[in-house]
Amino acid sequence: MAELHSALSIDRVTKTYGAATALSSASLVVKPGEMVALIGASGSGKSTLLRLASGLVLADPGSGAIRLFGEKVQENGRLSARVRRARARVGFIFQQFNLVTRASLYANAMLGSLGQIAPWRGVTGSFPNDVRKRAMDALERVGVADHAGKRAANLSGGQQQRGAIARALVQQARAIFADEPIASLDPVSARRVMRLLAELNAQDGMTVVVTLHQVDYALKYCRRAVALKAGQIIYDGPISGLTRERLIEIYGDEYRDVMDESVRA
Amino acid sequence: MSLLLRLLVLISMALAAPAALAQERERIVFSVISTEQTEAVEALWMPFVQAMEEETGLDVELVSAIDYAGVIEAMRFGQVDVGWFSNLSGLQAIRLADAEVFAKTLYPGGQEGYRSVILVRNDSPLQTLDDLLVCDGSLSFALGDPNSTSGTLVPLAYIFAPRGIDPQSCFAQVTNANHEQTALAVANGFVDAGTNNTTNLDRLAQTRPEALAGMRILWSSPLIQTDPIIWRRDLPEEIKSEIFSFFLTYGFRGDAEQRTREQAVLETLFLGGFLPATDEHLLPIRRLELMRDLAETQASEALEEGERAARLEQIELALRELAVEERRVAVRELAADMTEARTRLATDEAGASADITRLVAEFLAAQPRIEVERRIRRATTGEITRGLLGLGAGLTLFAVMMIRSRPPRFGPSRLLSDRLIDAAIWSGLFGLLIWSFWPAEMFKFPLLGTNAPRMGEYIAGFFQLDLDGWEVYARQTLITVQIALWGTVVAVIAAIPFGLMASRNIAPVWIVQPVRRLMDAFRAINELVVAAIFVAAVGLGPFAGVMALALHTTGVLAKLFSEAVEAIDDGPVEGVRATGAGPMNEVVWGVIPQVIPLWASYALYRFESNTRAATILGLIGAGGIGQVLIQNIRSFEYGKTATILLIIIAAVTAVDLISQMLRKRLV
Ligand SMILES: Nc1ncnc2c1ncn2[C@@H]1O[C@H](COP(=O)(O)OP(=O)(O)OP(=O)(O)O)[C@@H](O)[C@H]1O
Ligand SMILES: [Mg+2]
Repeated sequence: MAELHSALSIDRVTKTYGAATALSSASLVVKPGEMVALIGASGSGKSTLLRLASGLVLADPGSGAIRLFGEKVQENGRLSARVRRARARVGFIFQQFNLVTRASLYANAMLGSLGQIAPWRGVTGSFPNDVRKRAMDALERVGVADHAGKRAANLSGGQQQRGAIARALVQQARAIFADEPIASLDPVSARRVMRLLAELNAQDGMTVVVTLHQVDYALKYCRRAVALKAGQIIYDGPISGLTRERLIEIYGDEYRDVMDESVRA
Repeated sequence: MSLLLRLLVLISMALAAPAALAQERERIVFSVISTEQTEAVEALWMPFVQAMEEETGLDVELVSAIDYAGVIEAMRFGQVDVGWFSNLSGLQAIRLADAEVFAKTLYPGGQEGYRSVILVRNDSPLQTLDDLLVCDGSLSFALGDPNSTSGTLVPLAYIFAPRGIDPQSCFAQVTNANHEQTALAVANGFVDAGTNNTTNLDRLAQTRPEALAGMRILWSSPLIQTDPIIWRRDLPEEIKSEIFSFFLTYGFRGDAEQRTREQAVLETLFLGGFLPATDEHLLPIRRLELMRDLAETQASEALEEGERAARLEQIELALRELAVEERRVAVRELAADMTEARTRLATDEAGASADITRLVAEFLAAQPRIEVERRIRRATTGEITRGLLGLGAGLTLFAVMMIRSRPPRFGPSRLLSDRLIDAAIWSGLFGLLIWSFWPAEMFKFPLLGTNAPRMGEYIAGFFQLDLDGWEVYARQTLITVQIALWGTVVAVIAAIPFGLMASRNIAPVWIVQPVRRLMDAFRAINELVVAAIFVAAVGLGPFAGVMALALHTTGVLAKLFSEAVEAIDDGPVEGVRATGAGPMNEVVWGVIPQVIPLWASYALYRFESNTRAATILGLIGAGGIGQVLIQNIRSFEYGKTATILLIIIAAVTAVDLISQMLRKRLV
């Protein structure tokens, strides 16, 4: 069943903010089980694309459909009535974690179940036992079970980000969209988070779409790259296709100097 | 989180429950107006009320209030059935509350009325009414409560209206207070002269003879009728009959022993019994009221000429109608007198025929003339000048600001639209301030310096603490805190949904706008007015106070709550939304945890200020320390007032400390 549908399909979607075009008529298909790096210069539209995919922003009228595992998120600039079902299938990881900082890490993990349980259970905080168990298991798996009872606000960025991944696990998501998940983390925490995403992709067959600023991380962990420039997809292919020339095309001429400097170092 | 919500649900259920216990009424409520401590008044009236219960077989509840307005409202909505009113408040009661006069009081000596007087100190230079009415703004004058017959209306109708004098512009200062306070204010030299009545002077002779001895009467009015006893027209006839016979026989029934006992009770109440009466009892007061309206309409500066003419015409009409009724009464009395005189004709021919001629002449002479004087007032140029001055000041500042902000030779220049808006805001504010300078009497500012010693004198009065009865004050303060507590909790519960609905980032604009306007209205309406509205439903007492506080506070908190919600970080909301959660859960998990610390602070802060606000509600008989405080302020009991204020400060401080602790826990 899952194999019938793409994990993500975007069909000629445009998004403008006033006069600025964040994404122009982009189309993209991601198959289940893929691990895709979304790269591009600042302002090229990476976040916009991911947020459109989860229905957190609306595309311009006239845009085609966006689907997650066959379930429509939005079309023609209008949210689908079933958007919440679609969202429930994908865990979203934010650069700024976006946890409920005053709640414990444990409670945050349980929030992953909100798309599946009765609304009153969520509102009153009476989560079913299997959710509670799943939350503990997930925290264990991402390695922050020791901090389960602490408020998210009191934890480090790396710990919070792993809590966010635990939330996606409790959600029993079939895909993870991560928008610069490691941009605010130190190198060690960053590596942990990337390894965790790679492990979920390899062992659990989760689809992962991750936007990255560090090209080396993309080269190391992903098999497919999608590159955006000024709202347009200018490369979509194997990660190995990111040659020196391509990267200069993606990031602009100055990237030449960046690479030269790092070689010299 | 979930605990908090469950608690809220429980509390709202607890709130709703008492409503189910609506009670059947097989009792009547009897109200008396008093200027003194509630408990003392109730103690005085107890024997009378008990006798009423025995005689009528009804459950009689006594309520005493310091203000007429609340009682009239209560009567209007069936919360008071029988009441002792003043003439003017009685008139309002029969107009507003569908009530009627059935009896009138007599004074201890059996007199059917009293006289209004103006008091001055023995050592006052004022010797005649003309001395008082120099109207050079050098004297201060104390009138009674605005609704008081002898304290306000009679002096206005007999002294001020006929001379075309507006007390407000005649005197440096005009205060309104009850009889007791005005008497003490005159005796203590706080005002140069004040109104009063002979009944209150008799009472003063017993309670504060030293105060009375220090004053003399500058002027006294013609006889004013006694107070009416009024009942609701829709009382069942049997009940009316029971009450009627009780009032009219009390003090004059049974054996000698019973009569003595009841006369003793009447004496403590400064009464000489009751006589039957009808609404005709209020005819003189209607005349007084119309005279007052007439004077006010003629003197008012706020009226525009067309409006003034229309009102004068109305007053004239009302006076004509009144004259017809007055004539009916007068004719009836004339007929009786003539019959009596004619029967005397047989025995005392000369005397009787002289009497007959005199009766007719007097009758004709007493017939009121309706001559409404239409005084034309020149529109004062003052208002226009002030408006122009404000406008000029604003425009000047505007020009200065525009010139000062013109593009500089170096550095970035600002957008023209930004400069215009800035200049408009500041110059508008400045112009507004200039325009408001005179109406707000800001020119009196220097007086603060020159008259500082007087303020010191006033404040010094507070340093003579009078600790008598502090336990009573403490207990009443506790009640006030309890009123504030419930008022705040009810408001918090209501403000949560309203606050969310008033947040632009949560609710659509067609919900946000109406809810905000509703909250504006809740905030704008004074707690006292709201309390009066609730009195209609729940009667006088603390609960009306709770609801008044709750409504007002809901308006305040909903606004503050929504501002907190609008300032949240969208991140956590999106985090929750991205899991596929519904809107309720987005709010509960994405929004509320972010705003809880602020909300809690706001709620606790409001609890503190409600503790203060609850004191004011004492005015409408909402119980608590406020009622006691106002009574003491009104009778110039500085020492007691200071004690009460100290206790209130202590209570507010305690509330503040507790809420600080709570805040730390919650944040
Ligand atoms: N809420 C918004 N309002 C206005 N413009 C926006 C908004 N969000 C994004 N944009 C614009 O859309 C364009 C694409 O932004 P987007 O955030 O998708 O870029 P990005 O590739 O994620 O950049 P970065 O690497 O810096 O995160 C940018 O020009 C940005 O200024
Ligand atoms: Mg981005």
